[in-house]
Amino acid sequence: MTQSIVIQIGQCGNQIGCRFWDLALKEHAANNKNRVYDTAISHFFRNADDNFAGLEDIPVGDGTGKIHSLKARAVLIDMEEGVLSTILKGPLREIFDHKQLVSDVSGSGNNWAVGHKLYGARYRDEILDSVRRAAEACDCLQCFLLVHSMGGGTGSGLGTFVLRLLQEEFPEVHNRFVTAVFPSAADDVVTSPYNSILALRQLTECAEAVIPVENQALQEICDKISRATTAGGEKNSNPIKDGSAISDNHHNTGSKRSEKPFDRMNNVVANLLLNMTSSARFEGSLNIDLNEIAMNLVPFPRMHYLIPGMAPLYSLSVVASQPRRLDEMFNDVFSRRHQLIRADPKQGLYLSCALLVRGKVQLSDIRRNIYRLIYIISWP
Amino acid sequence: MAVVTIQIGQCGNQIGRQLFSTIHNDITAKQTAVSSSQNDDYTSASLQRFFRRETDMHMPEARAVMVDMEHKVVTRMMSEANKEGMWKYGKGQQYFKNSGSGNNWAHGYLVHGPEAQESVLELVRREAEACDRLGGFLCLMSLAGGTGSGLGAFITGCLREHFAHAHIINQVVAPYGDGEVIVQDYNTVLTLSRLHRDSDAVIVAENEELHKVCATRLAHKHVAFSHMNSVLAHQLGALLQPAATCGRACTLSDMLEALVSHPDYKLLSMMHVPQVSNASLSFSTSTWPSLLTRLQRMHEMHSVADEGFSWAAPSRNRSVCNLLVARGKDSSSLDCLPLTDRRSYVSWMPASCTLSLWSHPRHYAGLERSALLLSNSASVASLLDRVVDKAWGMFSSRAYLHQYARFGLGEDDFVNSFAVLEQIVHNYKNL
Repeated sequence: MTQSIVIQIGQCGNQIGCRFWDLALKEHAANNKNRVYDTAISHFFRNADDNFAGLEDIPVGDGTGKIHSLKARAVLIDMEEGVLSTILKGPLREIFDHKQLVSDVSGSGNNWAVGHKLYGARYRDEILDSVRRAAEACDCLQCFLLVHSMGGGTGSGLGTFVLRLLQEEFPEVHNRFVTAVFPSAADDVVTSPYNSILALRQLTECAEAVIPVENQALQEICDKISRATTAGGEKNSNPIKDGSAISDNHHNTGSKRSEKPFDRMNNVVANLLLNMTSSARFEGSLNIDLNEIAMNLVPFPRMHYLIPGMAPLYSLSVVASQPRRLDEMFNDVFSRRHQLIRADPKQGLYLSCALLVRGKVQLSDIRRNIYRLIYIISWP
Repeated sequence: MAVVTIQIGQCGNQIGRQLFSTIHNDITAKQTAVSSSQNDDYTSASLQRFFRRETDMHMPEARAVMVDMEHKVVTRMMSEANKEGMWKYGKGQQYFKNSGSGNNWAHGYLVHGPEAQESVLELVRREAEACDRLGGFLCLMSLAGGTGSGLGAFITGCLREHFAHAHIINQVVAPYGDGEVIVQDYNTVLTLSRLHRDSDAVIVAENEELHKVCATRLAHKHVAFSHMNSVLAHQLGALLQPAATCGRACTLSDMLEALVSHPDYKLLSMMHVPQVSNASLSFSTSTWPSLLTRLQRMHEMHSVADEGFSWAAPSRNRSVCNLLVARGKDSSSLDCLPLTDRRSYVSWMPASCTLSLWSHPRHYAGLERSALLLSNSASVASLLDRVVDKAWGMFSSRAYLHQYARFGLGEDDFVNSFAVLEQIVHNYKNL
């Protein structure tokens, strides 16, 4: 029964966070038909009782209590009002309460120094307060998940300031996972190289593991999915199963109007985070949680940049013969086109690699594929 | 005689649940081919050994302590046992925390160990006091993870300290060679070095071997951990169920006397025949000579599966001593000739002590005749060699050491553990 706190900083971080909470709610709703507050859902949400004025939390107990009002274990930080106010007006407003938000009006002007030094000093206590409040509501806090971009001002500057703050104030929670969105070659922020390098140093020193994501790669993945959707025009004989693509919003009404421009790409990152924490929340025959991911993949303290890859990107409505699809999936997840950053690991050397498998996959399938793949990858 | 089982970590708990189910199914089996008085003796001895019936005559409680650092597996095992409805775990005999050990041996041994010590020893004491005659402790754990290996090694040390005269047997599960967990080799080296000191006997089972058994002999199309766990539980049951030697009942001390006569040689491997799937059970028969020849071949070929031998096996498998447990008709008057070849035993072992025979006429788990070979031989050397090689490779580049150092395990501890293990491998290779 562990909990994680998600800290989203800056415009990019908050938009990804928004999609993350949306998809998390949908995932739990699909798995939890009886609306009970069990340990899986308590990983990211707390069960607040609205009748108490002080919003006291209801503990999990024996895992059969009803859900009263879910509140996300999150801290939302942004130095501009736009994104936060959209969130507070949107459908997710119920799961955040105002004490979890830290905001300002003027923004950082794409300047790392403004984010890190100026706003850091000004909002240090307020941020620490919010995080401490969220941490006290947790029985057993396992990790902090930070989400921010590297190119901007708030995300990279204030985001890395928060990272350093967590290292100082919460040394026993050593799992600090950062999902950092790196700028692509075609980036619209002029100072993004400076911001990224300054933030990179902080990440190398303070984070436990960094999961770099790149807009260009996400865009290519989304293009691939939409090509598969529209392939063959009207006469697509094997269309994608509705809602199965990792870039889907899972909206019941199927209306595309409410979809914002970066939503598809943010959904991919949100799915990544959900899948990474799925074994910590749900049970299986070989559980692995975030502790173990950090332990196994980080051989040396400063070499903690983990390249994520996901497969399959979507599933077809008519599922073809199982074993080939399964083997294809294992091949794909190592391929360059399924990585969330534009890098080709096969050209380099693998230090360590973790396969998190979710769903109806048998142990013998995994073993068969591991035997095969060991020879394709080069190990030291 | 009663055996208290301590299940540690995800692997240990899953195997333990299977073990109790297998034993209970064996107890309640109908086709046993012995007289009803003999059957009653057997079932009551077995029930006494593994279960207690203080509260409810029809729902025995397992003599078990369940330990894990997260709650998911323990709760699932308890609910599975309840669903079967034949036996259950005692209320309150569980210890679990929330945080998990993160595959980190140091976290399990140095942090969770001292924290858990008081509570776990209290639970064990409670079980031990409920036994009329405590035969010993059976600890079930894995070698790859953090809780099973680290906390398991710590608990074994505690048991040794507090129950100085009790017998402690560890059943450990070694992971697949090509990896379940990246730091599994470190965890294995650290655990085995401690167990070699604290435990009386360590039975080593390998996931790869169990997988081979399931895939080849039992013909499971998709092998899952539950299949492998049931094979291991089947073997353990064949070992621990009541048996007799030279007219008197066998105890754990007999086992240790037969197998672990030298303190440097404590690692045992288990092989069981026949290996048939449930579907072919009614079509298979076997005779004692054929079973024994198969066992002898498997022993020579270092294979737990009765198939798929690589005939280019290096040299003759030398054993310190072996224990044969035969169950079925005419098992007491068995001719053990295939297994008593003097050349396959070390020269410093007198001929009368090399092979011990336990037997019981009752069918085990529906098998007309079955034989289990528990051997103290050089077959563990190849596994250990591989593990130590890989671990040393990682250690020489100082990989992952900061993760262990975070909890207080320094390089010296590693070097000492490597030394112990090198010595063990050397001993076994030079048998």
